Amino acid sequence: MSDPTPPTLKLERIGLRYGRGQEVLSGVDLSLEPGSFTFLTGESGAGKSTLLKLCYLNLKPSRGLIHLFGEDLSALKPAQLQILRRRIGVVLQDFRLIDHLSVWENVALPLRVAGMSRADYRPDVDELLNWVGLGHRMHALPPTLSGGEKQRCAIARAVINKPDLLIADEPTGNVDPDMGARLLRLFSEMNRMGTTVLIATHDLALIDEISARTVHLSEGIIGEGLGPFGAS
Amino acid sequence: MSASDPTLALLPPPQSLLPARPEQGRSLVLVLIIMAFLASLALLFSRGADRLSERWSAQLSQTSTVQIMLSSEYQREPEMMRAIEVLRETLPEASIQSLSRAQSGALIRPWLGGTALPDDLPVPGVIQVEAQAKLPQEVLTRKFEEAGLVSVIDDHSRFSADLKRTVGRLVLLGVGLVTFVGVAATAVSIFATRASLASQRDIIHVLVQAGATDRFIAGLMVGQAAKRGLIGGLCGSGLALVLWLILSFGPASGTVGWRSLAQGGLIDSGIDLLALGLLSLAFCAVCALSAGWAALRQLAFERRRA
Repeated sequence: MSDPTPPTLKLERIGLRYGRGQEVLSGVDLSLEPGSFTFLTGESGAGKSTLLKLCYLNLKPSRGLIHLFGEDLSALKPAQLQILRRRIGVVLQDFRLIDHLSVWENVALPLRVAGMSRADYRPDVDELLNWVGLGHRMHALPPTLSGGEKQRCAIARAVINKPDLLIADEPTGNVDPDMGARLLRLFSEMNRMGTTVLIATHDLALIDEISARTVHLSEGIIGEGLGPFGAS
Repeated sequence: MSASDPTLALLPPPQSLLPARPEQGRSLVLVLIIMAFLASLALLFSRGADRLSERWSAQLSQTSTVQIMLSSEYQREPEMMRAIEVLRETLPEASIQSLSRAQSGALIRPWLGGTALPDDLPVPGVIQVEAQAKLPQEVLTRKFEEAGLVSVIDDHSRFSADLKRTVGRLVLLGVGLVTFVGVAATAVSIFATRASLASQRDIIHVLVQAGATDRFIAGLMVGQAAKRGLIGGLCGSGLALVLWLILSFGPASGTVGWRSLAQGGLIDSGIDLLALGLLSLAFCAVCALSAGWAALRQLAFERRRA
């Protein structure tokens, strides 16, 4: 009989190497309980982004098992993986906005892909754009946005479908402290409503804002706490 | 929220998830236009040749030539009278016209040269018969024999068969060319889809991350290819139609005989237009289906490689 509340994400003895190179990640174990809030820290090049890619199903591990929402990913078909991806919101460092789509269309993308009607999701998109301070820029194209606006747009796209798991890679790297605090409140609010949040960050001030679990990645191996990163 | 909500009107209609004009878009459409143009011309020529062949065959089958081998030149008049009598008895509805000795002689002049025919040379008597039905050759031959006449009946079936065979090959060539262009359009569409997936890798990545299935992404590619195929098909067919009309009804139509190739009455013209329309749709369908197939294969390949 399976556990009635399995972890949202569970990595078991994960190893990853590119080609025949050295392992970037080695024997990584990580478990994110439903509704948890976790910061992932580590020096540049420690493998944080790679670990996040595994978490949001952008990479397959060379070894080990990944369970997402209780499902063993190695046993799922591509179409089933896509359905799981719809339950994950991702904020990437390079934003990955679609340049020919307006801010509004970029934010609405996950809902459009899920097949929802435009009339149904319009109020949600409008409200969220106003919340992240982009209400007046909803018709603008991404190339005309500032770095901070792009980041807010990417965050809005990640959270618009109220994902069960939110993964963010340096989500406050390009915004001023006020907007950073505001975005963190958005993540906290989502977490309070049940979304599991995993944020990779260098920003110790951000970590200090919330009393949350912190895991540290160093040389491809993961450990609890801030590790030497916090001490430095 | 209803569609009549005034605030909804402020939002522009949904944008295409793929850029409307990727880099290779225009040149690709141009290639498709040229291919559709060639396919449409092949179709029109095939249909025109087929129509012309049928018209000529019908004319040939209605006209026959009866040669009466005269026993001597001095017997021309009575023997020709007997022959015409036999024809009128056997084919009361037919139009019968006998050629004079001079007219008959003109027919054999190419073999004899410009020298005058000797007066006593028995030039065969020639009778032209136009009848709706096929000539009953055996019956006529027997009746001519009973009347003491030696006859050769030519219903032109040999020419008609040659004509049909030649036109059949032309039509086959046209169909082959249309098929060939269809295969080329498939290859072009597959190539364009792969190039499009490669050049729009970032967008595809975002869509995949947003939960888009392969079918969803392939659907976008199908939409893009169908639009390209329809534009290419309609423009190519339109250009072919314009060229066809210029050739058929332009100043040179009489001298080169295009007019007879194109003209076929309202129904045939309607069928020609319908065929061109169907060709455009088929072109669009070929582009769309091949794009969908290529996208699904490429996405599966990329996933295996990841």
